[in-house]
Amino acid sequence: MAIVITQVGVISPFGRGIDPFKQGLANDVCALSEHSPLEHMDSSLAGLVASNKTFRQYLKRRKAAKLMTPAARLAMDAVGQIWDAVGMRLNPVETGLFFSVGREPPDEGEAEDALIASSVEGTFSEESLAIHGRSLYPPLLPLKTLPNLILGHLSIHFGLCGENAAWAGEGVQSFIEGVWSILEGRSTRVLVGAADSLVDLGQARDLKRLGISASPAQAAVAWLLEEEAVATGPVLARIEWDGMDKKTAEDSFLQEPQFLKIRSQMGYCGVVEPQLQLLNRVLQGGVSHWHGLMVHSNR
Amino acid sequence: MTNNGQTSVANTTSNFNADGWGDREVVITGVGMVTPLGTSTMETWKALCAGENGIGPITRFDASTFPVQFAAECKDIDIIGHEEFSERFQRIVSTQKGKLAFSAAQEAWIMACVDESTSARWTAEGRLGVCLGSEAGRPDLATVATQLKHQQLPSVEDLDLLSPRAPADLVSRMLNATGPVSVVSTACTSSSQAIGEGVLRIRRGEVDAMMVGGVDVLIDPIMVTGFSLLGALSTRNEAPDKASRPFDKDRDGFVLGEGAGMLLLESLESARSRGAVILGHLRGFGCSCNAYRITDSPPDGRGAAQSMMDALRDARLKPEDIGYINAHGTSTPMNDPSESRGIQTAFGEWTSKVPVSSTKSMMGHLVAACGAVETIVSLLAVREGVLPATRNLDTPDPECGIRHIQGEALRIDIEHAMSNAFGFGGSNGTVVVSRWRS
Repeated sequence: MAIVITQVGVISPFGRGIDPFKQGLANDVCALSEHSPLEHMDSSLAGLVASNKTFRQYLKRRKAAKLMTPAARLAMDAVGQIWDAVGMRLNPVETGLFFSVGREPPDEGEAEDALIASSVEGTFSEESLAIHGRSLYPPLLPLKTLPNLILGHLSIHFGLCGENAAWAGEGVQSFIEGVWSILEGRSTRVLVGAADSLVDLGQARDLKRLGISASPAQAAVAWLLEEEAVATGPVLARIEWDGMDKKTAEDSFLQEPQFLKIRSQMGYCGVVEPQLQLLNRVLQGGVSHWHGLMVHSNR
Repeated sequence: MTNNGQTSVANTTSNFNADGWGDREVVITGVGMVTPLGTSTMETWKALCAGENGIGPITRFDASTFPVQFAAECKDIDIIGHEEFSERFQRIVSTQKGKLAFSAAQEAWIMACVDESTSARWTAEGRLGVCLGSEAGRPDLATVATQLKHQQLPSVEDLDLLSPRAPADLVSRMLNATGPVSVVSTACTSSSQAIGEGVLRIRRGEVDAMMVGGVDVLIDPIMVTGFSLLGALSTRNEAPDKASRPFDKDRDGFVLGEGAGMLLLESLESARSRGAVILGHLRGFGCSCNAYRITDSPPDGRGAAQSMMDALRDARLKPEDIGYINAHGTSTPMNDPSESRGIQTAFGEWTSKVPVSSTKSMMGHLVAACGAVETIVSLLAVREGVLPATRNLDTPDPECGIRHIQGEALRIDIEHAMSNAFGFGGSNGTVVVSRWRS
């Protein structure tokens, strides 16, 4: 059975869609800009998606946007681009959905008022939380910290109810599991991808402390993988196992010059980075080795 | 953060054109759990069979002014065997989440009696992996408030402890597992899906064995506050032992719990070659999305039904083969009728015959750990011929038209059991376990 990539959706600091991403990298565009929430850090540069309103067109209910983290909104947009092209042709039960997501930590800023009201002279008090802080506490905050809610939003708004999984903090597994799902006959098509947004102050600080010196960024990418026999459109690339041993595969990934190029031009976008690297390779044409897969681009 | 390469499938022996891959039998050779009912599998199992209660007033913090003042807490546990760990792993294992994960995995590993030469070979060749269901940790509120006051920042060590990956890394270190290590985060479905991922990796020939399961610790002020505001928790403060009552007419919400469940899965070939005692057959797995709402289940239970039907198909079984369903049964007004309708759709006329119970009635909702713990309960039901009852099920809700196990545990020999787990966000997972007949 041959597996092919037929559609890609991407939203990144370079813009919305494949062409801005490709042109941005090819022309050495710097997609970093000043980000006021980071103004007290050593650098206030971040890789921001300029306009993240386009996801709204895919919402079944506009109120749903309130429940979405920035990463969820980006994921909606990336999948939406694929939906625009082939959505009506996808069987909701037979289309798998696999996403890699960031760790979605609680946004302390959202809870700050509640925490301050829950403190007595700067010391947290459970009694104060219950009496004063509770009314200020954002009720949806715990839900927003569940990484799989990105998966939930995609499922709800695009009507997908097939096989699914979300991996927190891992940028490759969603793509690999999508390939397996088709190979093993559990899905005929899969939407796979990754979404992350690291540009809030808390996450930007966390990155610095974890030793990642690149500017924080936000992005999402989605792919439609299909059995070649039932492909809904022109083939962008074919996928095979490359038979490479694990160590060589890891080294190959880490030594890839494009790895640093993406990061230096648009910043560090967490779990999305490996999949953007694959996208860049596919757009350049030729054969790419990526985490055990050999991807033959038709470009 | 970036993937560190551990999820690569490059060392798989499968390929696109190979025939017959994906049909390796997966067996269970070790299980371990720590729950509000006990610090080991047998302690929990005995309590479940006796219909005991693991729910009581919150002791972890002062909840006397909270709208919900009870939960299902685990007893304190002492652990040994981590003395040689590095500073990082000492930090992880010192947390409640780390302790629970470590203890459950250790019990499963000891039960599996993996000999030294097999263990060394698995390590040398990367043939043992780990996949856990786990959510991101949440910072202690007292610490956050203090940091806000003093404009301090959490340390790198603090951040590491909050990573959903921390328990999986700990278990990997404990077992010297050099195969794939991954973390599935699909809320209450997490550990069911982690089991599913383990099954698939073994079937593919990617590994010989996987330690799979889940761990969760949510009994803290922020989560009790958050879930209370969502209206998801029972508020029966006057009688915590009556609070979790799945499928009962008077249910009013779930009870937050904590715990861990771990299973050592192996290929049949591996288990046979080392002469392992096979506890059961991990026969099938299915999952689906509801495509409905973030916090609500669809009234017709379609996503649940899809998940159960997929698991039956994967297990190559028919509805009439299933002798017991360990339901997700959260005791919320919405989940229980939705799940019941899902069972009706998936099981058709067999619905009135297959016994169903929810063990959350005794140990609360273990969230990311519930799928693994309840899969182990289902396995024990098959092995022991005892199906635990749903505690507090005094008046079954007519909207939940299934065959309930009320009162005392049911003694009956069965061959196959099913365990359901459904999560916020609309993720559903179902596991089928079977008696092993060589």
